[in-house]
Amino acid sequence: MFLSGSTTAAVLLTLELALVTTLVLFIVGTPLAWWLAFTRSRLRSLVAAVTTLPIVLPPTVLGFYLLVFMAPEGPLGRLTAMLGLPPLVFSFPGLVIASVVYSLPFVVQPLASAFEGMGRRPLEVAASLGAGPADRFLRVVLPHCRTDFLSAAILGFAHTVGEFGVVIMIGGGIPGRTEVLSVRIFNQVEALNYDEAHTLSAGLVVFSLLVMLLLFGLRRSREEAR
Amino acid sequence: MTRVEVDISCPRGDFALRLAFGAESGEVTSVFGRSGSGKTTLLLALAGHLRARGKIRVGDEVWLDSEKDIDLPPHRRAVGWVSQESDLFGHLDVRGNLLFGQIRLPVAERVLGLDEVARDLGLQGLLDRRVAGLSGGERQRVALGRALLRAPHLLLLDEPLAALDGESRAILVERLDELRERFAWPVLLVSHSIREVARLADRMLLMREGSIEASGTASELLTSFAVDRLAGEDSGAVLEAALAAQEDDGLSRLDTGAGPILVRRLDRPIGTRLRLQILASDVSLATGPVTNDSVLNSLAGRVEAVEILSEGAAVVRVRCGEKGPAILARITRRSLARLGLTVGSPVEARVKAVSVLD
Repeated sequence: MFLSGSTTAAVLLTLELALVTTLVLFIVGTPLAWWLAFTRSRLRSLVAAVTTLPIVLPPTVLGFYLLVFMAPEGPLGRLTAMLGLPPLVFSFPGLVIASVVYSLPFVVQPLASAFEGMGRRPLEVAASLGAGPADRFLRVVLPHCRTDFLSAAILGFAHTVGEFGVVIMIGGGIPGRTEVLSVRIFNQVEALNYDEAHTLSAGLVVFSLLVMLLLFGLRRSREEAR
Repeated sequence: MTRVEVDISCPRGDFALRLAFGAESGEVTSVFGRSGSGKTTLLLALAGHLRARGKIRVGDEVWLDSEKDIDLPPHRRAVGWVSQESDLFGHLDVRGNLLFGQIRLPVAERVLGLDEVARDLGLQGLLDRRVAGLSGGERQRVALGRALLRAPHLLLLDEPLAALDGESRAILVERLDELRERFAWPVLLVSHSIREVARLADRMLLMREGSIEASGTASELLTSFAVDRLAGEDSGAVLEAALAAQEDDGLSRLDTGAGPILVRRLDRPIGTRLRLQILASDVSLATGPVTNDSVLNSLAGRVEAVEILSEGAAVVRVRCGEKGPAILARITRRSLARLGLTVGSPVEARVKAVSVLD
């Protein structure tokens, strides 16, 4: 199988984007999931609904608003300009921000339900045994919810690999810079280059299938451990 | 000597905890009350898991003093907590659970060793086991061992025996007794089993709607009408006893503050101290000596108080001797009237059954 230079670039860019997005999702998503699991605030439902919105919204709608937001005249665009940063639209950082928003529910939801299932009790027990907040997170929460963290990572990663609507709005599909796999497939089809579209599409199908197998295997092993 | 002093308030929606009490080291103070009276809330506030205002002092450590803006976080309060569910960490084996608190202590504060605790609690063979495979009794012993190894200054037991079978319960109770003698830790025991309280508690706090309705020695409170009302069928007095003699006819004689009591033969050394429970429903009253029935034990005393219950029943508290222990008798109002019992009347308490608390 022969992959052209720009195809390889698209594959690498997709993997890089998914990896960075997953890392950012953990940093943003873990505290958010924690808050959703344990807060008694009245804002909980609202925040939960907003966080889940990307699941039901058409990616183009999401992408459109993100574009407006990040455009040079948009609030975020002005901010980055003020800070002397390059524009977000049609850039890798822009893609990361968009992907984080788009894949947020896929990380936050499993984590929030894992935290909720764990409850406060193990944390109280650990605290009474002398474990401080960071200690409790590392020695109790992480091991207790490790399969949930893993499946959240897999879902976040895979969902980012598979996105199209948002990345084409924000990234524009510039080969080598913002052209991820799904966009490249679209471009190849547009150019009637069906062979490469076939190769890439089949590759994504296999990738997704493997991810799902991994996920279900993980869930099963966790159920058996219980 | 550690003395715990607590004076806290803790509002929680339409319920408020508001109480003050002290607890001595080496004593078990039982927190008794209906569910919803605030027992577990009290433990949560003591351990620092619930925000409270007021003062909590444990020995010379101040855990909470709102006036001085002191409010130690939970992990800085040396609490040993054993609850009904035992709450072991599923991702650790038995050893990992036992050591979880101890490894977080400075070396100088590690007063017990793993081997010692494992031996005392019969856990030596289980150290490498996963906790998922343990029985209820084993889990509870691991939870107790874990709490002890973290060298607590205050031991909180939240219904620790509720989920246990008879044998595990006996092992745990025996260990708790030994520990109380060996360590100067105050112990708070939340329980709604009268038998558990009668067996373990030295002092008792009776809680109601977030406050303390009554407090005192366990033997005084167990014969109070307030506890009697809560305990219902299980209501009864507890007596401290010492094994005095083995009789020829298969009985053992025990000395108590209320007089001698005969029970079925106990194969223990003379002098063994134990506790007896005499249920109010197992006591009948007579105004003179009775010699023509099969009841073995009869304790002389005076009526100290009478409470009329509904459904034609009454509870009579009989004080045995001038400052001796009291026992309760549940009789009918008709018997009360027929015997003409009033406060101060001399009576014989006829004890139909005695249980030795193990």
